[in-house]
This record gives sequence, structure tokens and C-alpha cells, in this order.
Amino acid sequence: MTTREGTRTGHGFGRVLVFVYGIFALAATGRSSVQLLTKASDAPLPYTLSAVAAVVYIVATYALATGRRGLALATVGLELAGVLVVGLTSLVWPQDYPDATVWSDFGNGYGYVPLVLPMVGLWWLLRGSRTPDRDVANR
Amino acid sequence: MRTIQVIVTAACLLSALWIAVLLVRDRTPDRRLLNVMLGVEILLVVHLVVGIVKVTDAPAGVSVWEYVGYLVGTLLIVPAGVIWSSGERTRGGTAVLLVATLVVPFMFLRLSDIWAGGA
Repeated sequence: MTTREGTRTGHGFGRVLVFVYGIFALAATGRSSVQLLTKASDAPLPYTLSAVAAVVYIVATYALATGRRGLALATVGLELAGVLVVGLTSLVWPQDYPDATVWSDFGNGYGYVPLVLPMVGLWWLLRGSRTPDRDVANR
Repeated sequence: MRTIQVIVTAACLLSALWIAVLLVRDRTPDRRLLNVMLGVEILLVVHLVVGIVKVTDAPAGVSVWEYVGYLVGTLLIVPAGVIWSSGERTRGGTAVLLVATLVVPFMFLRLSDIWAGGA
């Protein structure tokens, strides 16, 4: 897992992916800390979801950077499920979301990057596992 | 503050264009690009100071902590990008700089949103 097979997830294109995940980890952590520390009672559900998103981004960044492919797949999958479920429910039941989360409206507050990111992440993880060594070394 | 943001945005977009050229030609970042990014970072330090002074006088409804958080966050992006990029001198590493230069102007947009009370 942590040998060459695994460590590839953070190299080449993965290098960019780790950076973008890192930014989101930082952004989501900052956002949820501010929300929970200053106005937790205003909108408990969205703020809790923001915190969950922050944890998911942190673990995904760590997993991608250190080549833990299984953990990366699990967190990126969870991220995709999160953005889809929160995106859909925030449109159907907006009254349950008095304030926005990273994943609200499919992440349109962040240029839909939260929606696209897990798809790119899954593509990268699943594609990498099939690519022969030589190809990856050339990236 | 607006002036700094305009200058930094222009520098970032020009850098992004240059990085795109580097990516296409599969070159690693040159000295000049890194100097521009250093200049951007210095301006962002000034931006942070001006921003903090400005926020002490913020109209009601502006989320002060969020604003300061974004000011500090904006400061971290370029150094983080340069360090992370230098760890791997490949196309992927160079592309990290492209992301960094594009995120900085986006942070300015968020700052204006927060100032407008939107967040």
C-alpha cells in the first residue's frame, strides 16, 4: 500500500490534485471553525456538515499525498456522495439550510469545484491503478 | 487595497499565462516567474496589513473573522504552492503554481463578497 504502487497517487497530475485538496481542506476547516465558534446555534445542520466536509478534505489530502489509495478512494467517494446529497437536498429543502455549506447547491459558491473535484479524484485514482509503471514514470 | 488587488490580479493572470506556456513546452519554472511570485507575496503582506486596518472599521454585518481568515489564507497560497511545486520538478509540479496563481484572484472575490455582507 505504501510502496511504489501506492505512493504514485501524489505525483504527476496527483501533485496538483493534492494541492487543490489542501486548499479545500484549509478553506473548509476555516469556514466551519468560524461558523461553529461564532454562530453555532444559527444553523446547526449546515455548520455540522461544513465540519464533516472539512474532515473529509483533510483525510483525502493526507491519503492522496501519502499514497494511501484505499483511504483516498473511500474519502473521495464520501466527498462525491456528500456533495451530491447536500447539493440535492439544499435545492429541495432550502429551509433546512439557513446558511451555506461548501457543498450547498452542488458547490456553486466555489465555482462548482467541489462537485468536479471528487469526480476528477476518482478518475485519477481508478485510472492510476490500471496504468503500467512505465507510463506513470514518464508523467 | 483595491489598487493592490488590481496589481496582484494582473500579475497573477500574467503568471498563469506564462505557466500555461511552460506547461505546454514542458519546462520548469524559471527565475523570473519565481521573482514575480515573490513580488506578489510581498504585496499580499501589505494587503493583509491594509485589510486588517480596514476591517477594524467595518460596517455592521461584515463577518470580521471570516474576512481576516480569508486575508491570512490568501497570504498562504503562493508560498504553499511554490514549496509544494518545488518538491516535484515535473509538469504536475508546475501546474501546482498555475492553480496557486488562479486561486489568489478568486480569494479577492470572496473578500469583496464578505465585505458586502454576503459571504
